[in-house]
Amino acid sequence: MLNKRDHWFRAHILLALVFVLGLLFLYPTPAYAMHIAEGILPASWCAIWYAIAAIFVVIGIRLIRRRTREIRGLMPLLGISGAVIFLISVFPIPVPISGSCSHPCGTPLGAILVGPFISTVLGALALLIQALFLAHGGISTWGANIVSMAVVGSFVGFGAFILFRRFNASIFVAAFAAGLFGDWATYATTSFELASALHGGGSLWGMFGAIALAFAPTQLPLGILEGLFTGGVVTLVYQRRPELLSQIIPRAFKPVSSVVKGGGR
Amino acid sequence: MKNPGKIIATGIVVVVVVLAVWGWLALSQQVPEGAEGRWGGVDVTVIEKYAVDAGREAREPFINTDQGDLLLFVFALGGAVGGFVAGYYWRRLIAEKAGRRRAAG
Repeated sequence: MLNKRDHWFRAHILLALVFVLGLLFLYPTPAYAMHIAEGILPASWCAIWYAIAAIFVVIGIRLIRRRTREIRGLMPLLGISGAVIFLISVFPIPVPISGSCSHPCGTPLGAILVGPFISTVLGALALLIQALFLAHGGISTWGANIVSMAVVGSFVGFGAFILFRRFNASIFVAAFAAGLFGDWATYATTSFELASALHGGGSLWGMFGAIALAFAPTQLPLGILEGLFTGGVVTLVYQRRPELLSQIIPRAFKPVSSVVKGGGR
Repeated sequence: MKNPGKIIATGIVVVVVVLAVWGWLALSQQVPEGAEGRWGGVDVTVIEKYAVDAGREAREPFINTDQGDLLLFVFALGGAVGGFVAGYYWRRLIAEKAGRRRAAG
């Protein structure tokens, strides 16, 4: 018989070891993708993207303060969403046939779990840590990266989820669409940010099209992968804690009693 | 037809995925190859390529961890800490709640 201490060890330490070892093996080499590096955007454009990002981040911080008081169980969701956004937005995934690497965003998933404004704040924090310590993105381009990955990824993903749920799509299909469109919208926004700052005397939309087309062979399949990941995680959370998700997005998740075995009795 | 909305929504997703796979296969030969060769990240093969063409180059980050194996270390450390946090909260949110429910039931 295992005593209480052995149970604690098995439950916590082994779980942590599995995660640590698993992630060590999953991180053989760093790779970069949608993040715009330090110095690529002119200062004026950096300031514009900072100003846009600040609006969403400030609203998001206020919402976090309010909703953590209102909704019990939001903190663990914040923890999961923040960690997942941080991890998968630096997770280099090789794309077969294309022979290139890129990463998903994680913010569409975050938006479904905690709402788009709060997901924006989590994305901004992830991008800040990456810019400071992982040579991934930049401080001057932080605002632009927040707008593309955190704001657009969250809001397009959230919007797609709500829209598909209105059509009575299943949780998986709606979350898949959120991941798919949120990912593609992030890269489309990065293309726009680059094109708007760098097109010079040339055509803005011509350059936007060229950059988006260059992203496409890598990001089209990765969008599908992000859709599968988002659909899988949202379905899993919904099956285990439907009441929690229905508190966050009441219209998309019908309030139901727990479907966990033995729950709701 | 029992639920036309559901069928339409699922159909839209299927069509988009089929088109995306077709686009991926059709465009895969056009991936620009960066200086680092095959499997390069799109930040180098796309973002930096267009930035250099426009006369702008990426600067060194403020805290440059891209030196030797230091970057590999911080990536592994970040992955480990992030993985632990995700696992800890997943357990608090899902496993422990489910366990308590079973015990109460």
